[in-house]
Amino acid sequence: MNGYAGRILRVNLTNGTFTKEPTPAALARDFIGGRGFGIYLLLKEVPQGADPLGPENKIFISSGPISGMLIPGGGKCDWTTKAPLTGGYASASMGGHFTAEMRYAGLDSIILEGVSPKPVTLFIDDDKIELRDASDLWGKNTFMVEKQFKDKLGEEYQIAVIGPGGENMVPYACVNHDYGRQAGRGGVGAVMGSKKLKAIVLHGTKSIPVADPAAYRKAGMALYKACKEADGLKQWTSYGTTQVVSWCDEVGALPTRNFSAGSFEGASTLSGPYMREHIVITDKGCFGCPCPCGKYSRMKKYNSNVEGPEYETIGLCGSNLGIADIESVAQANLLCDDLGIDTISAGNAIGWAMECYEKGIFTKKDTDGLDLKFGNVEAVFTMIEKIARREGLGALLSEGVKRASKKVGQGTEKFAIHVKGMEQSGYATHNATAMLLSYMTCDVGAHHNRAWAITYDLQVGRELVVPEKVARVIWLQNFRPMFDVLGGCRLQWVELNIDRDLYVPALEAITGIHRSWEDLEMVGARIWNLTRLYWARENEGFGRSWDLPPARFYEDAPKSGPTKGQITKFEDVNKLLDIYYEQRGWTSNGLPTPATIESLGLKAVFA
Amino acid sequence: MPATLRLSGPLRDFNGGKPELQVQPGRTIREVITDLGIVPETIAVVVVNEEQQTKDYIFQEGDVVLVLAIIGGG
Repeated sequence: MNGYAGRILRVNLTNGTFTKEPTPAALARDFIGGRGFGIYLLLKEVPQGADPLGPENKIFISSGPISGMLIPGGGKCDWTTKAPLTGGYASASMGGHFTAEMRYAGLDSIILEGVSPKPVTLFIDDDKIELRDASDLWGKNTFMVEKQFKDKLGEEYQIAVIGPGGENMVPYACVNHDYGRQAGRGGVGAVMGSKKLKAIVLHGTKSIPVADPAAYRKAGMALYKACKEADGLKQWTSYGTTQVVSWCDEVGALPTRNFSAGSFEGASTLSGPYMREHIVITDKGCFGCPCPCGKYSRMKKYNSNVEGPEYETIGLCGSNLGIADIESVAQANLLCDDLGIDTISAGNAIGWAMECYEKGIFTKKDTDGLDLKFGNVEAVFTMIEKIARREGLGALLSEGVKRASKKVGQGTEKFAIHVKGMEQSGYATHNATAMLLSYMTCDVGAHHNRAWAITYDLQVGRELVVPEKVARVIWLQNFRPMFDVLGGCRLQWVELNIDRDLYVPALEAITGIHRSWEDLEMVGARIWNLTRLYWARENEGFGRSWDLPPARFYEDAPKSGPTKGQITKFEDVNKLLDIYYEQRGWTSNGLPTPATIESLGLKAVFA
Repeated sequence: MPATLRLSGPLRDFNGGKPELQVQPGRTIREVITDLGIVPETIAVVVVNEEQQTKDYIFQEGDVVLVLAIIGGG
């Protein structure tokens, strides 16, 4: 099958067996790859009601047809599982070089199932597949383990590894790869930890069959040329995602002190240019990328290095915690990565705890003696460690802000900034209705990557609630995650503005199948509806109430900055959902109607 | 001598699909892009002669100014 390695590896960790199954042609036709494979397999293979951290849950690691190919950004793979953080759908996209190596080892997907009786590493070198004892690695941090494998086996081996956060099953533990890339959100690392799987080590030397090699080369080169000639290339490569820090501050979107505001007095020392000048030592890119956005930093104060911080970490572990020192933010980034926990959820959870402390809900008795004020860098470092090890207050924060605020009560739910149990990522949405709707309806919880609509808010009027805005969010939700289906990175389109139609001939040359973006967006809509059905299947009473945003955005206006005094009215929150459900073809409670399921051809899938 | 304003990607829709336009010196970038129908807040980055500037920069003779739209975020 052109464009595919042709095999799915199933690893049963309980009995230590491996099977290779042909990648089904119908699966490739209907769901293409990546998160398309992921949601299909999750629905089919993980039984309803499975404990996310129990033996019935599985992890599905999937590449797509452009993964590992000479296509800009073809270095992404999807990690799908039932999320320990939310109890719903988790799909985390990981960059680096893992997915390319996986394909060269002859694998489109890896299915991890069962629970190993002891810590193990999954070792794959082409057709040699083994589970190796990892008892000596258990308890070690991610960087040390990755380096140990690289030193022993060679740079060409690709490693995905969990840290103490994953071993301790912190519900937002991540998987670390390439010293700075993560399958970050939803707790994939915790599921890996529950299976006693410390690491996956990959190496491959095979090739992927291509339908039309000459056309593939031509289409691939056209994409690279477009990237290299893009107006924004120099800017993007210089600063990566950090280029938006100052802009977010300017428009009131920079999460500040637990999202109580959208502008931070210390933003200038967190900005992309400031960071580049003061701590960045080189750029770092993923497989086949002509526009590397990774920034490798040196923190002199701490005598350490890290890949990052990216915008999200600057937002959540910087301004959101009242920290303006970029070296300290980078150090927090390093600690989270090394311990294997998501910087977004960790920063959000610590921000919530700091607000509890400043409001007197927590005292030093609750904080293990820490003076947990906004801006206290050392307290943040300590809390990150405690979260990963689930010690003291860290044990509470490790549960995520939804569960933590429910336990603490006293009105703290009102400033627990999450949707569906996932901590909101780095955009304050007090008065940006399209972006707010994007978070409310995102299929993994409050994450920005599916539909980043905030500039649309600014262009058409940030407080407006009109069908055009909702349509824009839906279009983005159907379209943008298609890069996670194809196994590529969206940032070449997003940030360099290259013509998305350039991908069409490349995909056709690789797979031999012509797909227009209209076709691809239809696949995106099918996947979106399946993820919704999955949430409903796994959570009794799932519906509209699950889509409500944090109360802060409709009750608690910022007291300073560009959005001072601004919130979204609660009636507008409901109006957004009314329009959204109608446009999606869902019921007024937010569930796909039988007619919608039928029209998208999903009846057989969701039987 | 006029300055050149270069628009990235989707911003070209505000200029009849064309990537560049000539601008007389003396006005701010904010004023010029507003006249085109672009809401200045949507512009994340302004680069003047390869150096980052603010939207309140005043066009000088011969400047080459690039405004970058952030259409998709991270």
